[in-house]
Amino acid sequence: MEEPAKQPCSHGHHDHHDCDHHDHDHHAHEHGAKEDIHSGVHVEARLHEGAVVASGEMRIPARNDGQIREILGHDMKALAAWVEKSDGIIGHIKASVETTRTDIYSITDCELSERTADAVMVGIKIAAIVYGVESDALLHRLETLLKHLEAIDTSARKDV
Amino acid sequence: MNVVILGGFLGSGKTTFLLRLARYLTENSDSSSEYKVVVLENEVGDISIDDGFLSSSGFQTRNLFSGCACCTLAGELGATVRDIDSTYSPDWLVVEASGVAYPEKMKQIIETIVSGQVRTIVLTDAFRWKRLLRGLQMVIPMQLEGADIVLVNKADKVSAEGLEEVMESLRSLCDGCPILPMSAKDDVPEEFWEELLSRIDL
Repeated sequence: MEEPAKQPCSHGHHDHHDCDHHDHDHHAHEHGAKEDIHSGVHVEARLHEGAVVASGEMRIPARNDGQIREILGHDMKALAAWVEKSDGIIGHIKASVETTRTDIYSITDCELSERTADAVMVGIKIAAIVYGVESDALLHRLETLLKHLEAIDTSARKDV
Repeated sequence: MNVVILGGFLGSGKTTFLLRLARYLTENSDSSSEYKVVVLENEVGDISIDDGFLSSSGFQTRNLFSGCACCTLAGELGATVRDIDSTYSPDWLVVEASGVAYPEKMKQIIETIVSGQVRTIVLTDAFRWKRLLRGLQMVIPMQLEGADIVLVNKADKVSAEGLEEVMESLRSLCDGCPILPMSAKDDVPEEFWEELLSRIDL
């Protein structure tokens, strides 16, 4: 087996390879968070044991959540390709999409009234743990990814 | 309450394996407990991607966020395990360690709390083994320390020769603990579970 290479660190604080890992005090450093109050996109990143731990989330109304899911997959592949191109190591890149449809039922006399919203709420969460990339760069990538998804289907927001 | 700690690096397939293990333990339980299996998830990140998925799969799930249960959240780990034991009293607690945690450290904490058996299962990714070991030469071997069994996941994604290379590499790191190849994404045969549980004395 070839000689192990040094683990790439993503920041300049200190070299984690010199740490006594038998004591195993993980080094967590707060790094950055961004919230766009207009779009509801929230992203944050920090360092943990030489890894950039980044996450982001948003909730948006949409009529075509299928398209959002499809493009999310495409954008995650593009993010992974960027990590590889940057000589980073992907710990994991994970996302979840939760779709909530709200129906309302009401009775004021004997008739049941039913109303169904013509859009759904889509909650998207994404988490990336990556070695060997800059924290700010990964944060920016996640923010861009979420804003890209947000821009796919704005029809449910134009008329509300 | 017996405890199984699932460790292993990020992307090694812990969550996929957890779902299969939890289903097997639930379906093969002959106890009358209301809660056969409770799941405790530990995420180093600030949000959990898996907990909604696990909950919607029918398992009672608790979470430890924003840190590692073997160190920065060690206190919370102990308190949460104690609370799960008193609240649910399940037959099994399956703990999914964060992908950067050292399972042996978690075992030492949990063993001081529960009276049942505590075992660690460490998963490795056969497909990425060489690359990860080269890039993360401190983390990966330390995650294997004290493992009761090591599972070489994604064995279907490498050749027979490649798998043997991974097994050989693991043997040099694992100090005699059992090593089993598997593929958690596929249906896992009954015999595998029987062998797994017998190899770790459960």
